[in-house]
Amino acid sequence: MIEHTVCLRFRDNPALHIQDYIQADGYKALTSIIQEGITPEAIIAMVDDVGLAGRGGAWFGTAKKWRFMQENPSGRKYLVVNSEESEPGTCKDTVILRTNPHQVIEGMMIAAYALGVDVVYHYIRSENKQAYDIMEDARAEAYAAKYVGEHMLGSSHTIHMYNIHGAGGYISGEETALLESIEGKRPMPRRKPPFPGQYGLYGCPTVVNNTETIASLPMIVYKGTQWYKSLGLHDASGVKIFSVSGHVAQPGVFELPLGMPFEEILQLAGGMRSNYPLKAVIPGGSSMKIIPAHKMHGVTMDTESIKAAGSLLGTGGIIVMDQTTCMVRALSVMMDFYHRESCGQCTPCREGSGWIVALIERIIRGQGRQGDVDQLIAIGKGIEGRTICAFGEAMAWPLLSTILHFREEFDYFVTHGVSLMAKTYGQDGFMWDVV
Amino acid sequence: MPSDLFSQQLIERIEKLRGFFPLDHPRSMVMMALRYIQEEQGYITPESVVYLADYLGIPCIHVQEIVSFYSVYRTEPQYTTCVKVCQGLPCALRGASALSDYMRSRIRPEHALSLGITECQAACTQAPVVLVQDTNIVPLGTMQAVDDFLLRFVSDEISS
Repeated sequence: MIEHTVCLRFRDNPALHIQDYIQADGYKALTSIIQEGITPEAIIAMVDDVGLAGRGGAWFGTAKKWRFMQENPSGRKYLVVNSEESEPGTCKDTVILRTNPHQVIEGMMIAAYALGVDVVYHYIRSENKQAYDIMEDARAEAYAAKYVGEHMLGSSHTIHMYNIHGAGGYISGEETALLESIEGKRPMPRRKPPFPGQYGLYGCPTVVNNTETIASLPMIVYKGTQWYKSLGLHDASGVKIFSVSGHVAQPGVFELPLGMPFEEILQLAGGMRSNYPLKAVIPGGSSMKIIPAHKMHGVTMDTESIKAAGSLLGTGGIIVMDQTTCMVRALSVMMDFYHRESCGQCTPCREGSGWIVALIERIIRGQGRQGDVDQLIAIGKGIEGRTICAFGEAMAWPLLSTILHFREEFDYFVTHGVSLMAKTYGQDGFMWDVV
Repeated sequence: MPSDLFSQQLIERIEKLRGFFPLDHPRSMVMMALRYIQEEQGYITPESVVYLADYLGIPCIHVQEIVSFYSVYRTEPQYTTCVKVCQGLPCALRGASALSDYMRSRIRPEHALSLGITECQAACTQAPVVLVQDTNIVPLGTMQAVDDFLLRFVSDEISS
């Protein structure tokens, strides 16, 4: 089994201090780039060659994003690294930051050098104070050792890096909302175009990359593109961190080859926690479409295979649900979240999320009316594609896919006023493992 | 300048932020400056909002809109330790709701705890979890774990 090779290689013995990291060949990639004068274009070509794509969940080509910014005339430019990890079911960036902070810093410096950027902002989620403190210590060490800052490594290059501690709010992780937040405003997503590559932080061309994407760079440069590509299975290139949660025996965070069969990942997480079989999977954080168990058979965890199964790989946050799970209640939990976290800027999202929550609550109270489920579908379709940012889809996709695949449970709840699962199994899948 | 409102130490921390951002963008300092104020004073008063705005040379609304939007800022003093149960789907699937009910039934005035909710804490593999004082994540997988957790909040005076 190939595990913990790129971003999580210090998982069991965290490399919190710079000596630990240097001992494991840390900062060698950056040093060779600076001292051997490897050109920025050569680095971008490496990133292009391995097909690195945005690990925050959008899977947009990293090299493409970088080149898009490079097309703009020279002048002030920024790199922003997004550690505002809040997508339900996702807990990968936090593990990277808490075990391998210097690799994130080295990755930032490599990216900044390739992009010709001299200031990097690293935005860390409010509640993740532990990661913020770790990153602050690592930053001080990296500055002292001249890997960051003026005349880094004795060269003519100057790259500064600042950790910014967020203040709470799921929407702050949306890339343009993140830029607004750094500018000291409410995190309300911007209209696109213009994209951040043209008009980003303080109106300057900006690249926003996810932490996992950035943390992958040192090993790609140090070990080479062939090595990185060979880590993937079948046609997939490289690795991805998957967090497996929900009704599995041993939930966990695993760095695994892209293209690994879902069944094998499920086994890594100890299989199902009870004797009940798999019912459904959300493959990449709660904003992705839900996939019923029968469609997960033979699926491999890569963008193509998951797409064929009807969803997207997203953040790699795999939420597993067993046969007893009441899908009406599961949807209720998800929709409550989107309603509370809507930034309120766009009417379809702000109002629609409230209507969805009210309708589902009514169904769960046993007061559902005929037509409620169709009404939910109509609201979902009314939100999808009609908001400034992807939050609208993030809410509509789980809503529409859950009803599509589990419609009979919704209809049963409306007609009988109780959960079909509670009636069948005596519980609805939201049990506390009280031992 | 230090004042009755902002200590010397607080001013120094805020001043350090100036080096982070372009000089013509003092608004960028607001979010973290407010955090420092809250760390020192416990919560954000209207007086602090005005003082910070004046100090940075920006309109008060540019400070107040941050205080009123982001979830970390408190505008009232806090007399209890805040424990928030994660509402994410992975925690829900492992009994966050039952955990809340059990905790509510066990909390006594002497614990000086207030129970609330929070969004997904990116600790899904430890579910269900609670967030303590907006900073520490504690997995509470069993009733025994909850009972042990609550013991921490009984002061020595009361328990002895």
